[in-house]
Amino acid sequence: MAQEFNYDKAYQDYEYNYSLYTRAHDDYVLAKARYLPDKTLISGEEAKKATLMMLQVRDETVRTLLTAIQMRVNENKGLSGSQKESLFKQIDPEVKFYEDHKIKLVSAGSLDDLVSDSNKAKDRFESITQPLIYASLVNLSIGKTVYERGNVEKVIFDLKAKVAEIKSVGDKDTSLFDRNFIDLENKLTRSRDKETEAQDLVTNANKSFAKKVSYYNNAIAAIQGSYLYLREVATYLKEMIRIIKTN
Amino acid sequence: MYQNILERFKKLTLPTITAMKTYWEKVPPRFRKVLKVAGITLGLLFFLLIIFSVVAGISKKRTTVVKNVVPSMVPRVATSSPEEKILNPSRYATDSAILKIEEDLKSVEKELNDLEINEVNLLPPRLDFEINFEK
Repeated sequence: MAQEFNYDKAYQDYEYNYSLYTRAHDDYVLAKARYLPDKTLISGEEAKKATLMMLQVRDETVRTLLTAIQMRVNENKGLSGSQKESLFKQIDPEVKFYEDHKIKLVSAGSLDDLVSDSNKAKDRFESITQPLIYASLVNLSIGKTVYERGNVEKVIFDLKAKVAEIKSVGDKDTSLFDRNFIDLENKLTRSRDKETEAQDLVTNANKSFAKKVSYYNNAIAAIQGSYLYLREVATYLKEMIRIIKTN
Repeated sequence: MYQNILERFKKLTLPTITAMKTYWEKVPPRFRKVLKVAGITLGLLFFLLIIFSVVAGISKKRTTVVKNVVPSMVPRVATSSPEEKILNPSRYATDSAILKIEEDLKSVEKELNDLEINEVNLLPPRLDFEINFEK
């Protein structure tokens, strides 16, 4: 029976390719060190072979990482269908680029051709692929908090209905709960605001690598803030239930 | 028989005692007093040391006995049940809707506790893009 292709499988592929890349990179460094002093024909051929192998595995590493991210996005319960589609539309061309690039590498006739091909991948990675990876990861994190907030909101909805029922029976003082529900709504709004802040940080991220990492870290910090509000809401709800259960 | 033993002892120790007496007489009278005081002090100290050792030994023995007789106290560890008990329950403490909401909340709390916000495994890896054959 064919194994289902899911995130776990995709991530295994990525890990495997990254391990191949580290080995291939070591071989490339060694071949380069042998070639540079004398630049003989034989050492040149060896260097070309090692470089080709390393670049191919590098392409494969990026491609499998992007596929793993796609699978992760697909399995995320908090992202809407359109949000997922939007990310897929951005990731697909990247996957295609590294697939094509890997095939094209074989036709390189010299070390200079390989260097030139490598530079094309470098430009693509730095200008499009890497920012897309960071943006996807931020979206994945946002999706997680959105999903959890949905669960929290369902509990609030059910509790509100029950409190209304208790109020109509009139056998328990529920005057404090109206205020509590307003507080909970405020906390949920703050949680949403933090996610918007994270999204804005990624959208407006500067192109320089250092700034991209910094924007990414700030975005994740904002999502952590959103998550903390959700935890606060859960604690609040627990206390409200305790009060209802007590005379 | 006892007399014989005493005689033998005297015979054995007599030369030593005589020699000590001779040395003592040779010591100038002004130093004799100092030596006497020093001797008495050392003797007292030695005596006190013996007394102290005996007392310490006895008290140690007593402690050991006490330890063996009295069972060691087991520290009480405060155990809190995962379920918080309601001491004065209202009629809603067993209400099915409330219990269901409580159960749902527990599940949400567990998910929140297990949640890993950051996808560290999927961060861009370290890849060498500086490929050249010039240096």
